[in-house]
Amino acid sequence: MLVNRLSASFVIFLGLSLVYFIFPIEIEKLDYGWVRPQTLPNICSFLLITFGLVQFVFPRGKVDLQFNQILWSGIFMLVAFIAVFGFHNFGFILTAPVFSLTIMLFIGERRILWLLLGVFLIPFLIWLSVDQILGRFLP
Amino acid sequence: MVELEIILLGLGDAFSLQNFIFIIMGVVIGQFVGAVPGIGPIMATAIAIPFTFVLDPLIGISFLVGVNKGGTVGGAIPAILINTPGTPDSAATAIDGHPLAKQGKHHKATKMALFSSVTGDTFSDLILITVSAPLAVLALKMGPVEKFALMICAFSIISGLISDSLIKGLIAGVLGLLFATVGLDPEHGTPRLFFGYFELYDGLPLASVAIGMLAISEILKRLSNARGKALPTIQIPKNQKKEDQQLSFTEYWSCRYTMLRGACIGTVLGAMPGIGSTAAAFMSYASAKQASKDPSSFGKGNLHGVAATESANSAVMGANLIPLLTLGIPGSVSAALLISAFVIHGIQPGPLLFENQGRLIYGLFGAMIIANFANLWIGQIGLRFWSKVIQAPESIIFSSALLLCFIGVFMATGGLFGVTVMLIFGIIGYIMNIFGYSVVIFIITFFLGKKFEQLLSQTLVIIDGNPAELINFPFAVFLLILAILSFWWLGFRKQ
Amino acid sequence: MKVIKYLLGICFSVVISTAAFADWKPSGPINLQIGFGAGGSTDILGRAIGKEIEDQYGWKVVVENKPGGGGIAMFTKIAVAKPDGLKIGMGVSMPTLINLVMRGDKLTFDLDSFDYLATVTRAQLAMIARADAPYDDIAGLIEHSKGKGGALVGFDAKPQELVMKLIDGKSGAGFKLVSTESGAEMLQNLLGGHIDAAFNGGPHIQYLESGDVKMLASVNAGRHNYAPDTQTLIEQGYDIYVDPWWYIAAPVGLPSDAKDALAKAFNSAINSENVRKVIQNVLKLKPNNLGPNDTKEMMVDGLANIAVLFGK
Repeated sequence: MLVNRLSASFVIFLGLSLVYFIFPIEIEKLDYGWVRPQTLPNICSFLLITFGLVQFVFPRGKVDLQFNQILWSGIFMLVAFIAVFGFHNFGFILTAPVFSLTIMLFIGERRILWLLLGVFLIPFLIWLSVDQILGRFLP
Repeated sequence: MVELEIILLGLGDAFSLQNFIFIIMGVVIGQFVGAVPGIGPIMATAIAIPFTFVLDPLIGISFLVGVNKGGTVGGAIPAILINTPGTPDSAATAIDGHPLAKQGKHHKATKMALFSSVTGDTFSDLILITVSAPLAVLALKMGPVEKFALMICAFSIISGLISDSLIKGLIAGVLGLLFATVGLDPEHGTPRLFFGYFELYDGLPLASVAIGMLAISEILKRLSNARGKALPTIQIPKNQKKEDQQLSFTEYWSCRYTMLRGACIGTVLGAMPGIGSTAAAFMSYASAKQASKDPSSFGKGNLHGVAATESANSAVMGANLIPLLTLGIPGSVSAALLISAFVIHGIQPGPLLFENQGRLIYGLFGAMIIANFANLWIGQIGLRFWSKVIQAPESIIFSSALLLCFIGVFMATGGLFGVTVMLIFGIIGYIMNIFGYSVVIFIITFFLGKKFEQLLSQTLVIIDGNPAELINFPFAVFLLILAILSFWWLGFRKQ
Repeated sequence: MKVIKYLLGICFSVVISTAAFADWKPSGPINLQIGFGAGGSTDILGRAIGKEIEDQYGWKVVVENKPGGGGIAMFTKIAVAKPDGLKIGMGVSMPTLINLVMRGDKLTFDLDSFDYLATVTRAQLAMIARADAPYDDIAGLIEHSKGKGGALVGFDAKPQELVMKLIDGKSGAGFKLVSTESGAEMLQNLLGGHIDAAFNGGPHIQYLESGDVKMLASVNAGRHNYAPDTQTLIEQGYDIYVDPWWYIAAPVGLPSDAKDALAKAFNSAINSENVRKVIQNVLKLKPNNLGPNDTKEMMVDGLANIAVLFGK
């Protein structure tokens, strides 16, 4: 109940902030034509506010809240964002093995053979097929 | 009418050894890249096109057709085995395919996917070969107003997928529509909601959103659940019965109506440019659920769910060639890529194609049928390979899958910007899953959103904003009534 | 002695400069970026040209699609890339120029941000109608529009919309403009009888040949090579035209030897037999490379023309 109310209030908040803060800056309003740039976004945010209110008053539906899982997903996400940073600055060849190693160690993989496979062979195969065979750029 | 002699000559070309080898190569490549999360048949085709410059036109195009057909089969594999559809049109496959895999029946599920995919594909190919010309003329009669009505109809049928809470499903749908409005607006071409990133002028990159929401969010969840367990990715129960590991003919045959319905939906939507295979897959899935005697078993591992989706999205591929060959109008990105392969060889798909290039076209038809058989054959071998791969520990499967999503989206969107967008949508998808907002509904409205807004604009211009004008479009009115009926019926049945 | 030394000097410098000219080689793979998605005509042309340079010069050319805003996303990145001749962009003049005119203050580049290498050819844009339509030119279309209370005209780009608005403003035809996604979509709606007239830049030509479609006007400054009898808009009394060019540009500050070598490479690729065939097959056109200097001039002139078109 509470969690459903929580998500409903976020939806209402999203709808309101779109209408009052984001659309005025990010959409050039036009005053001719049937479907103007602002038409559909406005309808969408209006619907969001309405449905959000209904959901707030009559909260229904399942939620699947497991804090441990969320915590670890957050950590993996962080690793993924750091990897994007790494791809940008150090390139695929350096980043990919480190990235795979981090993920695999975090999951708890300790068997050396699997680690070698994931850390060296898979990135090598990707490099081989993309860079060498297809002649495409890797990050 | 093309002479019989030319038809036979064309078919003869198709059965040459060289053509055979290239078709099989195409199917192998297609199935493989389709099965790798993050890389789909569209990208494989785009990469393969320059290689076909040097080939004979028939061989080059047969090869690309093989890649495309292989790709649709391959796409179902990660959806079923690890619940991470590589392309949005196989997202519906995961709904029932993955629960089957979790019960250790992944052989059954992947085989069903393979067989129904080839069935749907062959059905639409036969339609293409026999009645493409009249069908294309019929498709031309579908103007913007009719297409708009059809889209409303599709939305209302797909709303049958909303299960848990109606309001939450609607919110997810509106959010998808909202994100689809990023980029140039379709009526005036004014950029909006791009926050200073010119990469967003054409909208959020489709590959980033689809893979982020469908694959990344699932991989995140699986990674966190897999910690410290070192389990194989799919566990087969010890005393599993033999029939759970294979697909019997009775099971296949019991899905015949589901597959026929799916193939028809796929063929109709494929023949009409612009709606696409994602909508076809979900419409077929939703209507199979609607028609079922036991709708509640859907989503828990019902073979009909797999059969409905795969027959429909594969049928789109063949049917896409109907407007492409007869009118020169591509119905999807992969069809547009095929057109470019044609024109590079100096062949202009369109009204004069059958007259000027009859031999080539019948060669292509022959090649399509060969490719379907090749798909079936390679698929059987491929499934064995993938079911070995999937015995590997989760740690390696999901870390490699994540890396492949990075590289796939990097290549598809042309930079790390697309990868960042993918990760952001991974978070959004993850949060929506936690709070019980349907990611699938979001993806459908997101994919149809741009076209929806444009059709709305076109319709309003054509009817001058006056609903009474609709009286001149009886077929559109019929579709709208159908939409209302199906929405009411779905809502009614659920109560 | 002095004279000999002088002559030697000249010979030497000539040798050095030609050697330098012949010697410029890309230090790695050349990245040719296409400002549009895969499968479109720009993509096809770019890939054909890239492959031809590879074959002729043995340089490695990697062609990549960087879609976004009709090339704006790609050129934004090209403008700030290192001018080493390894990052080159290919796009269409119209969307670039329109964005410079309409929202130049928001863009991070202008025409001087690039060294221009070549044009590929000029697109031919036509106004078309179904063959059984009761009008054969713009004047007829206007009459028809007045008669039925607004003819439906399809367009898929901003300049086309403005052209129709300008004609509408002059004649009071009351056109109703239908925004579409592509030339193929317009053609489909036209053939299906859902709209009365449309713009088209290539897909219509085969329908002209098959007799399903007729051409009302050329929207370019001149008539089209495949339809020499159809008048331009200017000839029909509307002083307006649209001339989109495919062009190739690199970040400004390219070393002159690199620029010369690249311009030469692109020129010989664009005019090669293979690319000529692709251009003919895809666009029914001949290659038309203006060369580095005239390409720049084309862009500058084009900017002025667009400013007039948009009334800025």
